[in-house]
Amino acid sequence: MQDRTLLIVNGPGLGELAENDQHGAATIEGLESECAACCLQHELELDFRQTDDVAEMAGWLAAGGADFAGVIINPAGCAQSEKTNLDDLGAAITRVTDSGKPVVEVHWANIFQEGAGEAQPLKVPGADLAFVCGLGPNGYQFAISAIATRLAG
Amino acid sequence: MRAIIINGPNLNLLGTREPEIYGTVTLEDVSKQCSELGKKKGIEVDFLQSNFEGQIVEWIQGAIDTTDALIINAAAYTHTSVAIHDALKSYHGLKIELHISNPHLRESFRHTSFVSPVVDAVVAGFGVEGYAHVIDLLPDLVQNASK
Repeated sequence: MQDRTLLIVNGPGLGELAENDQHGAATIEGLESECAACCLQHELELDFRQTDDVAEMAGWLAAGGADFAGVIINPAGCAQSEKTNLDDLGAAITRVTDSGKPVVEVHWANIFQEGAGEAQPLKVPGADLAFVCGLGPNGYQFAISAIATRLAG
Repeated sequence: MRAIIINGPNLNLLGTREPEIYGTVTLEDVSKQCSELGKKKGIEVDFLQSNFEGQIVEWIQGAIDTTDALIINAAAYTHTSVAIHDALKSYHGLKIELHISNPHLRESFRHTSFVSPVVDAVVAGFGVEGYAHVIDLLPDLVQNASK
């Protein structure tokens, strides 16, 4: 049942997590296992996806993002991609939050630290978008727990 | 485990100022919630608020070597204070920047943070519940940070 299912969407480059690993989830599969275990603790199901195509990511959210209990999105570096695709992603996120469903943006590393690379926070002014960065895989756990608490409240 | 939570200017008005953004829960409510949750998790929590930049600097300095984690919602000083930035560089426990709303969704002058580059993690936009979420996960976060 999708109303007890979290959608987790991982963006460009995240299929190759091993280089960035400091905390334990050495692969995207490892991260998925950790997220599934965390969801289980909160009596939630998990739909875990990854794509290097920003348009596909936007499409997933636009097509049925609002049907899920909540959405966690790690856009990775896609804030540097073509403006058109970013607008589509922003619109899709806004549609999900307008429907009352929580969306949390998660970045593995603290993207604001010097030398962290080019990732930027998503700028989606009309949305109710929460944000976590710098907690490694615990960022996903944090987001799952926060969404679960909101659902329970 | 000891944690210090530092809140910046105007957060003393939480629950009364712009409730459409920040809600009706007061900072006193948040402080009590953090202390109670902290007790359950084995964390001694110091929950502080000041409208004065220098006081915040002194609290950060006082937290050096006396606490395991520092959580800071510097509010407006986030976007202006090199002094707080410099003080945070001297603190070597786990540092988390926290905001009730997501500054990146608001006015452009809130998109720059002097705090973000010198902390370990940034958490924003979870409403006042963000404080409790951080406390809830803090033992794991401190343990992982020390690895």
